Amino acid sequence: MYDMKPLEEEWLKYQTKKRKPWYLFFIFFIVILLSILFLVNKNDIKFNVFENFFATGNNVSNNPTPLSNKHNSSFRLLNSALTRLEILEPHTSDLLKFGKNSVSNNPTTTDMLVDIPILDENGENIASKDDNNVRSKGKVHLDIIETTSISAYKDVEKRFHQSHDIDDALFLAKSYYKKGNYKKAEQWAFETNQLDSTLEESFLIFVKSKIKLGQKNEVISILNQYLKHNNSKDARVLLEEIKNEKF
Amino acid sequence: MKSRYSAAKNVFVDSIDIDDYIELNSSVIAYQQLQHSMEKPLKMILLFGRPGTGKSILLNRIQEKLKHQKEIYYFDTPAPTEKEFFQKLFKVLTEKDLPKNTEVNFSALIDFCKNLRGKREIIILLDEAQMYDAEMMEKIRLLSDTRAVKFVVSLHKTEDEDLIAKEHFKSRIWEVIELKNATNEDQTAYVHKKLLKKNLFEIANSIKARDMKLIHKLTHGNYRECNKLMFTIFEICEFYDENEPSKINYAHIPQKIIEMAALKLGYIHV
Repeated sequence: MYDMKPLEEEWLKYQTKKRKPWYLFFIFFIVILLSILFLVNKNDIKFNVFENFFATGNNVSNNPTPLSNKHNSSFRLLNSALTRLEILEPHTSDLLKFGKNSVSNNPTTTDMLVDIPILDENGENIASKDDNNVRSKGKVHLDIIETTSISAYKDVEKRFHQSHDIDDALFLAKSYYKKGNYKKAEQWAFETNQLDSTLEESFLIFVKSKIKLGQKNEVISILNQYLKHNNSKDARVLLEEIKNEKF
Repeated sequence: MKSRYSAAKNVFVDSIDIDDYIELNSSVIAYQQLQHSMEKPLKMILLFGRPGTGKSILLNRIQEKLKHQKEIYYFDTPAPTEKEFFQKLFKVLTEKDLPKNTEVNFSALIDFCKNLRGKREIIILLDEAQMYDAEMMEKIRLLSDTRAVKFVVSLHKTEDEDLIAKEHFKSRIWEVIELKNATNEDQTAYVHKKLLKKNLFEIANSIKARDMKLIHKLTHGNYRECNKLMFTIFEICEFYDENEPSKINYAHIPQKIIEMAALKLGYIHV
């Protein structure tokens, strides 16, 4: 009779040898899978950067790394507020009116503007002043949105002071303009323009805010100066509208 | 207490025991082919195949079956010398022992055989004929030319042995019967029939088709190797049955044991 121990040990070695190709194949498969996942993720990151570039309509090559990173983070942060705030549009009649009146001349800007209930200088929410019917329908939603949007604005402003991210500044300018806070809109548009003087979007918000603040003659002068150096269709249309009292 | 695997193990002890002959489709065909060839007026018939394909047992089987109808003789292993071979042949032909201190005169033997033509028909089954040298094979050929003695020559199929066959039998009238390695189906039937013949039904059922596939792969359909492997498998089973019963599954022989047996016999290596 055999001594089974050595034979069993030999069999275990044989099993290991037999399975070796499968282990190697498994490891190879995992490596390939991870490589694919890595490449896919890498492409996604690149895609987002380009998406941001085209969305802002400007070359961000002056400060590419922090800009793209910050933009992504601000985009993510505000996305939650954006999604929820859109629900508010039918209930906040005065906000809607505001947005339509003020931004209809510039469809590009309008698309990017966000309906966010905004605090006035004393911290009171415009939406909270709505009539009881509106409040009764969307009360719960509004309460949630108020908190989110305030924190979102504060976060963006706070972050801007640390990073001086152009996208944050532009976002604040557009948002304040949309909400009718033209002083703040002018201020943030100016901040944006300081960071990138070629960004027409911020320039247009700046001049539109000035018009709303009653500085019509100054705006005409600024636009004329601007059109001498830039062949901007939007700026020309805006100038015509101001001259014809249509704005 | 004796293990149930002891009897199974002994079933596969490699021997040319005619009682252990298992009729398979392939072996029945080979048997009929050989019998049919022996009816023909052929001088020599060549039976060849790789070792372990069942040549010896087929010769034994046909000798056993036809011994009462024909003068048929089976020379199992070649005589160590030419002298001894002709002594053996002398006895077959004359039915007498060669007197002491005498030798067979080959020319006289040829003449004797010529005289037997038409009177007797002697069939000699020469197993392991690859062990005869070229001179001896030439003498066998000359004897077969007398048409009184018919030789069935069994050869291992190798390159060299094929050459020997060609050299000696090329111009002669002869027929070739080739035995091939067993198919998986034949080998499965062989193992099961062998066990069932000894009433080992449970053990036969414990060897599944998947196991037989592995056994066939390991033995390449060679009956001798199959016997060795089955013997070793049941020997390992016997050990576990007697010493570590927890390691054995009575309903199904574990693949581990088949592989262990194959390792033991050197069919697979670490």
